Amino acid sequence: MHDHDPDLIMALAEGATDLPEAVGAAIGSCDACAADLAAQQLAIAALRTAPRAGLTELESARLLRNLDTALGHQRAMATTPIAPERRRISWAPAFGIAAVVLALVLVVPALDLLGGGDDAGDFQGALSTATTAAAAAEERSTADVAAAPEAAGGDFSAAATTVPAADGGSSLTNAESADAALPLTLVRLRSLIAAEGDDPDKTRDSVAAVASLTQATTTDACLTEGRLVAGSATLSYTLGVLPIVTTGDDEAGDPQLVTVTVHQLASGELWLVAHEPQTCDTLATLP
Amino acid sequence: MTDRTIDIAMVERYVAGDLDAFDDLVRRHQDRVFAVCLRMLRDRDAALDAMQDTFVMLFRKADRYKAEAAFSTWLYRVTVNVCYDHLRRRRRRPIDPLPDTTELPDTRTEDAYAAVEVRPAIEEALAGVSVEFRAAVVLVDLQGLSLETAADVLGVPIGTVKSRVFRGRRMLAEALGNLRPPQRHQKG
Repeated sequence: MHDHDPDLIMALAEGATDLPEAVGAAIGSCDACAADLAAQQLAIAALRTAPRAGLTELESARLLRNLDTALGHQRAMATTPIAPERRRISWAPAFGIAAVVLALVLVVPALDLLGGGDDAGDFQGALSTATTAAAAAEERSTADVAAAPEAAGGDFSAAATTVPAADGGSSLTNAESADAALPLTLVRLRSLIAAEGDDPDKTRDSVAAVASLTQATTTDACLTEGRLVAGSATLSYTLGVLPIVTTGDDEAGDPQLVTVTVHQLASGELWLVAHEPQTCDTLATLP
Repeated sequence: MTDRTIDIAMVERYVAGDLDAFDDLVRRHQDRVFAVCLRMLRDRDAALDAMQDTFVMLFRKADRYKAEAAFSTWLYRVTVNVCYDHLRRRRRRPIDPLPDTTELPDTRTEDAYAAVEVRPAIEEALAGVSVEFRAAVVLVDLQGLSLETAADVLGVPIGTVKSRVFRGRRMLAEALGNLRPPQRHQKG
């Protein structure tokens, strides 16, 4: 009697030499086993003699080029950490832009420009610009945004992130706000950033019909992620992260991307903190 | 340094922010990733797309690689999953692949004529093997992975991989048209 044993048939097909002769004889005496053995041998031979599937030089070059295109923005954000002796970047432009943004954050609610909360028509434009401006932030937040705690419509719950101050002094926490104005401020903030790049008038004054805003800290020390919902549209964003290109004077003369976040001390004093985008290391602070 | 330690060092450099290390990883693994994609998808353009998607995933998720397994094993897993995604999408929106005759000869093979003549037969035969069995056959017989590593890549027990390889080879042989279907087994 002989059992139809695929393991033995595979072993024989692969050229195992340590099997008892009786096994080979048994398989040879069984039509189905012999057919399976022949099939295994044929497939193995066909596969192992198949030409190698390689890329042509052209395809290889195109791959790197396509990756550059597909990942362009993220690659720019993922700059190589700068060696200490090369870190001679002027932070003034970054802080200057962040200061303007901060001013917007504080001034816009005071001007009571939030009345258009039901103007859903403009949201798509704002969303579009905000999405462009916060492309990197979106990229990072989309995957994990589901972790954000759901909040009631219109509610804003800012979670605190702690970042050590560069001078080793008091720690800083993300600006906390229960101000219902923040959704609009956020959109305006994104619009402002977008305006730094292309079309200043595009959506600067767009008003979002914000249904809800949820927010949570992330695994990255310097990021706070959230999700803004208006109608059927959803914008995932990273609050307080402003990818600003400075005109640093590093050796290569290349502009450097930094992440700037706004923090608030317990005393109420506001600080701007520049981070290295990937490691979130604090590079500089400005009260 | 072994291949494994070289890979780990490259990943660590990349995760630390060295983009050149990412490019090095791409160059180092592009052929094996492409080979799996091509055999799985059977269409060169689709394979190129899937390869690019695989490296985009690597770019975004390299920090999730834990050095407990070989980097190539982890990358194979990403590759196979990307191929499954492409096949799922293709099922939803079927696209006829270009005729084999329009494919470029593989310039890296020693015999370009052989590449042109043999590839369609193998690839057409592979197309006759269902996806899960095809993945096992491609990893074990074409990429030379051990059953254990293939099991790790596919996330199934070794016995399952062995069974898939066995049945996949049988399907392949039948598809090659050189073997009549095995008769039902009769114990004797």
